[in-house]
Amino acid sequence: MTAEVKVLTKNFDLRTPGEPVFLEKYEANGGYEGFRKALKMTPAEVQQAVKDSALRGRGGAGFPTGMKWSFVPMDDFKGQKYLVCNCDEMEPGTFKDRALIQNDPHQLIEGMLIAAFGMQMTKGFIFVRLEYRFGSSILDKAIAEAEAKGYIGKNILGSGFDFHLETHLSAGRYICGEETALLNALEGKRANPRSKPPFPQIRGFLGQPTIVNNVETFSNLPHILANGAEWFKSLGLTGNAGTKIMGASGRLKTPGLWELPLGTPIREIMEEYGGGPSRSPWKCIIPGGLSTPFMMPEQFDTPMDYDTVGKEGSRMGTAGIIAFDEDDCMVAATANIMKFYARETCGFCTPCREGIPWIYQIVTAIAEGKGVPSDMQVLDEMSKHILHTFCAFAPGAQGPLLSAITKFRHEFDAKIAAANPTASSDPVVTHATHPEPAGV
Amino acid sequence: MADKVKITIDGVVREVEAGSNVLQAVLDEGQIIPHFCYHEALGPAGACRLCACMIAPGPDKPARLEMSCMVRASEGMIITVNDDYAFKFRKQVIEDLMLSHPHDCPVCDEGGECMLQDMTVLSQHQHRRSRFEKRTWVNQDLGPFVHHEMNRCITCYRCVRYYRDYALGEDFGVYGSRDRVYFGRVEEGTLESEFSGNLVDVCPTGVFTDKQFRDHYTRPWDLQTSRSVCPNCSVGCNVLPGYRHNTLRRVKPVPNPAVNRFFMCDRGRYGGEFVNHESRLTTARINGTETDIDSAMKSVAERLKEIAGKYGPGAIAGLGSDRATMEANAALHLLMKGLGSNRVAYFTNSAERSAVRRAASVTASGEVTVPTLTEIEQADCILIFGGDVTGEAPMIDLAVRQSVKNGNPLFICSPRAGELDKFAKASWRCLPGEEATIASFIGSVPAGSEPADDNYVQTAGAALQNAKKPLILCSVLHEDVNLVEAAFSLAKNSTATASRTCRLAYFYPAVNSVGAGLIRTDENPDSLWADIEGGRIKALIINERDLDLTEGVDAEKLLSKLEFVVTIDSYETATVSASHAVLPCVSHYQGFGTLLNYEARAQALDGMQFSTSVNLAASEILAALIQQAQIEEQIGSTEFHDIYDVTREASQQMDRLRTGDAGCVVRTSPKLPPSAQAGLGTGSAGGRLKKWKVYHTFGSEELSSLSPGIVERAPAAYVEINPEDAAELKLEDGADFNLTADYGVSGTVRHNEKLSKGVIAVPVLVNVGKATPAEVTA
Repeated sequence: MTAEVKVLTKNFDLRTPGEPVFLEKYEANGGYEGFRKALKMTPAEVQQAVKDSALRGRGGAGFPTGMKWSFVPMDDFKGQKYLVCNCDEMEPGTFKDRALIQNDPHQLIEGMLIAAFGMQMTKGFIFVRLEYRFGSSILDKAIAEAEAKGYIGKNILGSGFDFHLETHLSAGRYICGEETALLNALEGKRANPRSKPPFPQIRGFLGQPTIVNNVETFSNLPHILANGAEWFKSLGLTGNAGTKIMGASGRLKTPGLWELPLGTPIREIMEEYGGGPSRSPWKCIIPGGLSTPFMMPEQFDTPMDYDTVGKEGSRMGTAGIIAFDEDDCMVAATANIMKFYARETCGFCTPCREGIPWIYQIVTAIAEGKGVPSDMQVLDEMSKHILHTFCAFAPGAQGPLLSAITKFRHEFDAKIAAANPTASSDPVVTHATHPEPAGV
Repeated sequence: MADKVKITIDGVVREVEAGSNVLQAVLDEGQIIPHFCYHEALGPAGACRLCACMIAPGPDKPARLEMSCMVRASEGMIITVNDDYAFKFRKQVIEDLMLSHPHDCPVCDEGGECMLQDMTVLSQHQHRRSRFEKRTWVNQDLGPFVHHEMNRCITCYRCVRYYRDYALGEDFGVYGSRDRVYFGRVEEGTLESEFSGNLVDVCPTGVFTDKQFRDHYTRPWDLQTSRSVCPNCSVGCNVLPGYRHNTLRRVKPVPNPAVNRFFMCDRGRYGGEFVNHESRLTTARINGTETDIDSAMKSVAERLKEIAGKYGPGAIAGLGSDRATMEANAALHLLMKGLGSNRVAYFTNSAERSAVRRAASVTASGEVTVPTLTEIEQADCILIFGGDVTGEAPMIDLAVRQSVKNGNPLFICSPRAGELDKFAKASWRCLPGEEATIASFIGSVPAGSEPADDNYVQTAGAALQNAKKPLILCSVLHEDVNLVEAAFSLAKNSTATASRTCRLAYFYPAVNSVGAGLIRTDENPDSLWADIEGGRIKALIINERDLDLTEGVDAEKLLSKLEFVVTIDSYETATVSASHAVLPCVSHYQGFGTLLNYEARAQALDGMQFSTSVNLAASEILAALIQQAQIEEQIGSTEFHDIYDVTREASQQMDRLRTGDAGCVVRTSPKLPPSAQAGLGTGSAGGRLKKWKVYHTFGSEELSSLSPGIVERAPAAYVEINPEDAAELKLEDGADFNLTADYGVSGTVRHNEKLSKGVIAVPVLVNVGKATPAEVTA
């Protein structure tokens, strides 16, 4: 069994009930050492350290953090640059960022300070979804502590470096997790994604160079700076660097969060940490948040990391597993998933705004025993159609949809067949076979 | 000029500008890619996903489905519109959009010119496979101009991108999210923008339709159209009025790259109802008796000759108009010449006459560069002097907004804040008449000065010096010849000292002010009025002018001094009612002729003829009078050049103009003479409040004030005063104010902090104090 490796969660044990780890305990356990170390380096060296660590974004996409930073204009740029923390954690099945900000807020602040110094950014925001207002209040308190202690403000620790940090409690929507939509929301605009290029590194918040990183990504930085890139890389079991806060929910006996090395087999997470199936044997999982395609039991020995899960036709995403068992109807489950996407689409581009609600209507009708034979053809077509949208939201919805109608096709077909005992199995749509709407 | 690149569109190699967007490049080549959210004025958005094509960066590169509006053309790019995958995708996008679109096409106002219909047919979507309910919305009453039908919305975001991002309006927006996105106002109510009617044109389907058109709707394909020029301000936007059964049904903008490219203001769009107005003249009248036009003209010609014989030709005078065509004003000039009189006035106020004539001469002199609307949009620093652009030349306001939108500074020097002031980097509230002084101060700011927050002159001066494409806009409606001169000097000197062009545009009281202002010799109205009062003038021929609208002239009293008043006009005015002979002409939109806009751009109009009893334009009536009076031989040459201060070449160009041309900018023949009245304004002295006339987009212009929608939007009479002056004068907000004796104004008192102290502002309201047509004709 792979043991827990407490890096990001090392301070979690210092908590007393109802009391997060604030500055005194944080510093006592090595807090702000990474930042102090960074201040003795040049910004370029800090960036190189992050690049060397092979840290990849923990928000779900897994883009190499060092490379993302490398597009920020440095020495020749004299204008304002912004650092933004994405704490709009709305991916269903994912609750790691909440744990990080509610338990160890200074770890995030220190990570942001390191990033800010590394890219010479003097203003930062933590974008928090409305439902995390409790976590936001903890961050506010921690920021005040850090300001009082001189970690945030003018001429930090005598280094000449300035940094101002504040939380932004947003009305929040799933799309705010998309960094350009987040920036629009932060500017007080509608949370619609922006077209790229220009990328936020060049024109982000208020048109200035901006980096948006996830809570967990920032939280890794103090440890990378304190312990070095080689140490960080050595944490992973299968070539992807570092630990990851893995989560599991759904049909498990003991759902929860555990910090495990990247590469820990999925089965271990589910059985050793999740306590095994809670009802009947597992049918499938969503490995890393709602937008990752389904994985079947024969794939459960896959190591949970970016590359291997990707090779298995899914994505590690946020490593928040959702487990389904034999008694779960996958049509109903797909309807539930599609309901989320239909509710959360920002409404900007057509296939996403109109297509996903239609898909939701169809899948719901099938689940409720009101499907018609032509529905599957529409779902097949729409699952390709919604790939060509303005941002990655609809392709995110497409992941679970396409894998559901592929891997659980028989469940869809059975539901439709039961609803249409006399209908031909030929799914081709013609005017003649198209059913009249009820009541006509 | 930008570099050209070769791209391949469906197998055909085309040369386009490098970096231009692929959709526009394809459209420019006359080929169609279905699209909705892309609009040339609004740019790409990537929202509708309909313009998808297979695009490969080069011959050996893989093609991907891309939105052509979001891709910039580069060398070797291969675009396949007619690709199966792309075609299927586009067809599916239409099905997506039609999931909730109502099938109310048979009763939809947009029918026949619906972009959604066109794109649906083009994409070959035919069958809605969804069996689920369509979404529905509650509509809003958006006021007299725009009808709202949200169920038809396909969420292309064009409306909000136009209204907020382009026109910088604030009271319209997009609300909600997911598949419930709503476009409208926070609360039901009249759209505040002066450019709201463009929603009708930018909306690709029937969400926003023309409410005035609905009042007398006809199918668009049944409309007869004839390109024309809007008569409602000195910009002269190109329009396409549509008619059916001898009535005007609607006015739409039509692009002229040199004037209005896409849009027009609501005054122009909804101000065309004068064509249908009940006060339109239908027959000629001699001494109150209706008669046919031919015998009326014969009788008028005889009477004029009789008066000339009895009292001498100097007893006959003419009064032309700044809303009449070049041809009509010229014909009046020739008629008077033929009768032996040289007494023709084209203005009714001597201050207006000198300001307009000087501004027109400067404009046509070529000594300054006068911008087109597009060039105004591209200015990187704008200084406005005088009036409120929004009410005085609305489309110049919309062009200024484009410059402001791009972050360029705007400076406004005017006694009263207008709509544009909220976008100004700095505003200066001066007394009426002081603008010229401020302009000259700005011109004398030393080179290299830094902007200073508390110093308007220095800040504006520094911005002007640093700008690469600066622009000065100057109102002529406030009749200040000193300001005309000061703006001219500022533009000329700024151009000379900073070795780049500082453009200058004046805007004027009427559609053909520049034309009237370029008449070689005209009479000062003051001397005309004096000789009428003194009985030295016995007969007056008035063309398309309502003397009742002239401030400081008691039209009824003045006209009663005359033995014979002939008025040519298209509708019943107080002047028409007081005339001995009335010769009805066609309305502006049925007439033909030439107009000079604020740039001195000559534009031709050739109106739609109706089969009604009135079918002569004013110029034709005047020409017929010349014929009837048998005075042709006294006239001789009849070129524009002889009557107007324009070059022979411009004269010939105007003769050749056709409607639909971009028009030609005319030039004066000799060098611009030095101003006879150069000097600085002194502002007001003493304690008496100075009067400032406020021109509103709705209600201040003569012809458009015959439209019910415009009347609805016109403000009620008011008197504005700075709160400090009000305190001194003990005038409370909302009190009735009647100081006809001192200021000639009355109305409800409004306190306005954004009005200069020492000023009393009153709106110019055509309909206030004017008898209704019913009363006039009774």
